Amino acid sequence: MSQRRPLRVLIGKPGLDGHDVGAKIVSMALRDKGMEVIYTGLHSTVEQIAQIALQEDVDVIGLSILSGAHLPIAQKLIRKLQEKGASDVPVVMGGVIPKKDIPVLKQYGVAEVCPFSTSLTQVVETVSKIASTRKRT
Amino acid sequence: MYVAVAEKQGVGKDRINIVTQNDILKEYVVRGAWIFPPKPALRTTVDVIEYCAKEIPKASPVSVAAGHMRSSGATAAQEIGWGFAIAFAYLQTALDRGMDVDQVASFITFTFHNKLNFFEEAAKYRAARRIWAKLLKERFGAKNPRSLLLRSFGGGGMEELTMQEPLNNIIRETCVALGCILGGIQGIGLCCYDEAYTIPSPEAQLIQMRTVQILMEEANLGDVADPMGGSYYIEQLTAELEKAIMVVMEDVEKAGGAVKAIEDGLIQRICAKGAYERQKQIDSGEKVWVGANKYGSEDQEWDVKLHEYDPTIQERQIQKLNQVRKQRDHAKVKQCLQELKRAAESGVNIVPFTLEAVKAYATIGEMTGVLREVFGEFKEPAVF
Repeated sequence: MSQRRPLRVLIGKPGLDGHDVGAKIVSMALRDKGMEVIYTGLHSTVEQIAQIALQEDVDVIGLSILSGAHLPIAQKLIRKLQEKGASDVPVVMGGVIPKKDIPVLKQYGVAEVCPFSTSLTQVVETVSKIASTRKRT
Repeated sequence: MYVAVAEKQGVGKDRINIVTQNDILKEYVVRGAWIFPPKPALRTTVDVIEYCAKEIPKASPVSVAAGHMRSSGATAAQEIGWGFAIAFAYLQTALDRGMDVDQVASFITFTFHNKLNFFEEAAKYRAARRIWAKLLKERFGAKNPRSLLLRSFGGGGMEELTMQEPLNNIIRETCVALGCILGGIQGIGLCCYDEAYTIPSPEAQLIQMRTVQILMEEANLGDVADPMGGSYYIEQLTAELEKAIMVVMEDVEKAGGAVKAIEDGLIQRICAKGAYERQKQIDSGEKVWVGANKYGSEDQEWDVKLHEYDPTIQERQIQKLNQVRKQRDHAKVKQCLQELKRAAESGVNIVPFTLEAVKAYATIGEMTGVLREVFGEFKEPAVF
């Protein structure tokens, strides 16, 4: 069997939202499960996130948003990925996201949403499942 | 901007009574509202202190938001220890400029956050008051008894709120308020039960205010100062926390002081690790969340009424901004921004120059833009 590289995840904090505890916790949990984690740090733009995703050939993008701007940002990122020919990179979102917005996000093309109160085990499972799906295609 | 508005309304600076957070060093640890690197940012915070000392005597120009670190992974001892280390960085910088300790000390207030364990929280505030008074007197030579008072605002606990069975969060915040009141805090701001879902609804905001009013005016918890004093348990906890806080402060000093520890990412790393460990405890059930990870019902769906926002606000704000940009005196804006930049370069206090730029209707983006050219931009150190 050929050697497979570990799953590579990009965790992004778009916009001016400075609440990064969740993004850091999730990054550490994914790393402890053997994944390669790239964290953008605060204040990144959608353009930067899409660019890093492409350059680093990540298997999944995790976006953490607690500012309430999850809908427009998700829409913008999915469009940006399409423009760059990277629409196969799935996007998973976390943060303070009301239930009623989850179907809207999925309609935009977000693969999965882990709202507030999702356990770390569940987040890790979701991210790794979705990242693996991409690798097989 | 407050000063500019006051001036426009004909209110004298001596009548302005204002509390600004203006705690930039904490921003690098949590919350992330930074632009410039810590050193020039520290200078701007102290510029505000210095300006207020001369012009706005009733102001409280710095409120060290130690509680934000608590909510993001710090222990009770780290919250106070790091908060004081940051406060002393402001104080020492002001003293280095020749200001008087008794003038600066009363300008510094604190915002702390509680967990639900109100014995520890009450002891935390008692320990913090002892250390503040002792160090202000012995290390900084404060003479005015007012300088020894720890002026503090407590509350928070948002990270303890659950999405499941949201009404239980009202009880959780009542425990937060108890810790604040029994520990002797001066002001309380509680979180609302629906904060895991949304911006608090008006109903939720009213409940959190009523919680404090009931505790103070029906349960009479504010009738006596330091009601826990003398209890063997509280005295023991207070003494232990006092020691632990001093150790945290010594560790920061050993690392080269608050600014260096933040530039190196040391405090950020400890804080993030604390948050990670706590999350693991919640997932394993070691830390109990009633109705969420214990006694909860698996298949129950919970929801609250969302605080709807007005989607036209963005458009209206953009229109207003464009209007201002059209109407203002462009030559004046340009001149003010140049003068602000020169002030930043020369090292003089930038507040008067900022005020002139504000009065000329320069935007925050334009003002921070010229300062960015002088100060540069912060790059986050790797935290994990």
